[in-house]
Amino acid sequence: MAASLKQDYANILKVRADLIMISPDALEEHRKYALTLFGEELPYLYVSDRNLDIARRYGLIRNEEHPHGGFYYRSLWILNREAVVTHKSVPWRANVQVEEYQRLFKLIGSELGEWMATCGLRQTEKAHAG
Amino acid sequence: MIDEPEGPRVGEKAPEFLIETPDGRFPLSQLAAHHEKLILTSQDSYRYHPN
Repeated sequence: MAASLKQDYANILKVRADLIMISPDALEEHRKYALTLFGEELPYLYVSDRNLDIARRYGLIRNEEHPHGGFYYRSLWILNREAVVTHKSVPWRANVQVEEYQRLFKLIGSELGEWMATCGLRQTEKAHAG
Repeated sequence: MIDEPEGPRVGEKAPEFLIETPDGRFPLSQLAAHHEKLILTSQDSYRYHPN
């Protein structure tokens, strides 16, 4: 997901939108992940939700652990200038369904993104490692 | 079984939190006011979901 959003971030900016990623990882973990995988920091804003405060207020905590581990939903929210929610997808299955990923770009009136499946990310990892 | 997630609904104001940006620390509503649309996305730790 990070690889896809990194690649398509320019499309988001073009329509005067911006993107904020939220996760329970510490900022340093987020940076380390990006540097390891891409050799540079991810371009969009990042919020570390270490104490799960945002997750609780946005309803992002799963009742049961994900089969791959973890309790934090992948989600998508679109806000207008008044910070009112105009769209929400919880969970957002954009990592496995290209239509879900492209919905984001349709909703903001942008060119479609170039979704990268997990296998695409592995290719990126190999390229970076090489 | 996974319960229906809660949280704000469409049409409701998004709960505030602070965002660190290259220009300083701002509340969500202030950042939203400066953009046509503000996208929030969440994901679990890279430990579990590295993609």
